[in-house]
Amino acid sequence: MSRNDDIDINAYVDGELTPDERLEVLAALRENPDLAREACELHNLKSQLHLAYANPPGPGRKPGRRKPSALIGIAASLLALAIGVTGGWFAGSNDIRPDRLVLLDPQGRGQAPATAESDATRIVFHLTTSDQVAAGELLDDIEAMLDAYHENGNALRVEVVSNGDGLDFLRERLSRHKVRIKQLAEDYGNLTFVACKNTIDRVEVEDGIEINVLPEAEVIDSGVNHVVRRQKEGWAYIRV
Amino acid sequence: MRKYFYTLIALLAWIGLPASQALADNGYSKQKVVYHINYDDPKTQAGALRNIQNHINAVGADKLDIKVVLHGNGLALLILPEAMPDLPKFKHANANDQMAARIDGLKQQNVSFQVCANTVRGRKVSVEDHLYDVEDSDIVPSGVAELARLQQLGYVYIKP
Repeated sequence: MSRNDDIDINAYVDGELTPDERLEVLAALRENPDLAREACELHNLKSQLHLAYANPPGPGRKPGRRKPSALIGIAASLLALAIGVTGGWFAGSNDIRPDRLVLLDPQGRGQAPATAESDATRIVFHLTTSDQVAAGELLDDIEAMLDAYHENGNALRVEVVSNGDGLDFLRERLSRHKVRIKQLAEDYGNLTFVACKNTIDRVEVEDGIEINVLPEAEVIDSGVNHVVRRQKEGWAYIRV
Repeated sequence: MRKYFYTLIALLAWIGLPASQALADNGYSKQKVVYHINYDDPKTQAGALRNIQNHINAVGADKLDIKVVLHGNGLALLILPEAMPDLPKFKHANANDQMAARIDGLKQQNVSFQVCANTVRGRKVSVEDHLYDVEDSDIVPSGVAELARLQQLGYVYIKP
């Protein structure tokens, strides 16, 4: 299988494709049993990983390129539901090793043991204004919450989604919280910063400049779409 | 598969709703709503209270369980103007007579106002002296955590 196929399947499993692309992949899956099996295995791996560790992502990623692993959470929670509905079906051996945990959460902080996503409180914060004082207060709130949940042994997942004017918060040149974001991202494996690609593309065209976002930020296609998806998955939503 | 799933959901929803609720006079069934205020602009805050009143007018106080969660600058809604000199960390104190009357009106219609303990502590607010009509039972440990908790309990989130 070619490299391109790999990417398509990953994006498909992550639910990242446009409807047209999805149809294409679905057609390919029907025709190619090997491909279908691979997609299935990918599903399994992600849901197992997700069920084993309620807080999947970890170290920062370079923006600009879609990495399938960045969206494990989305795919896995949908899959966890699907798996629940179909009667707890699991296939393949569970070979998640303890050292994966280290990879996911180098500091070992903020990560309470949770065996199922439903045990974790999941909150998506939506940042759409350029008010970086408010953004700083948001970071205070989030840090207090992460610590409180950690102390009480409760699992918590937090995402901060920035789009529109809120993107300033995650831009190399404009963010007033770069050091803090870096530190928080290092300290808390269960905290993720997300930047909206639609906004990046729009501002690049409007201002004629290249936009660089912080290395801690994960870039997703649409911030608005992402917060909608999170709410459908049962995340609490809080607009900053 | 999806079709059956939706059918199942619809069925569960139908079973879950007593007929009296499902067929309420104005078409609205019971709602649980949490309003989020973390900004201190008096006009925006007054607008938020107006939104809540309009919400009640449309749905009916008896069908509504409304909570207003205040944290950060949002506490300005309940800060008495005379407390301003004691509270350098706030730029606005919006609980003048007019605002207090609106707040009273909403409380009489089953609206409760919840105040974030982190903000009270962090900004050195005296609940008794600086805030308008707040009791200990109105204090929640964390405004943000309360917003998440209420949503987990089925409250719909609105930020006016």
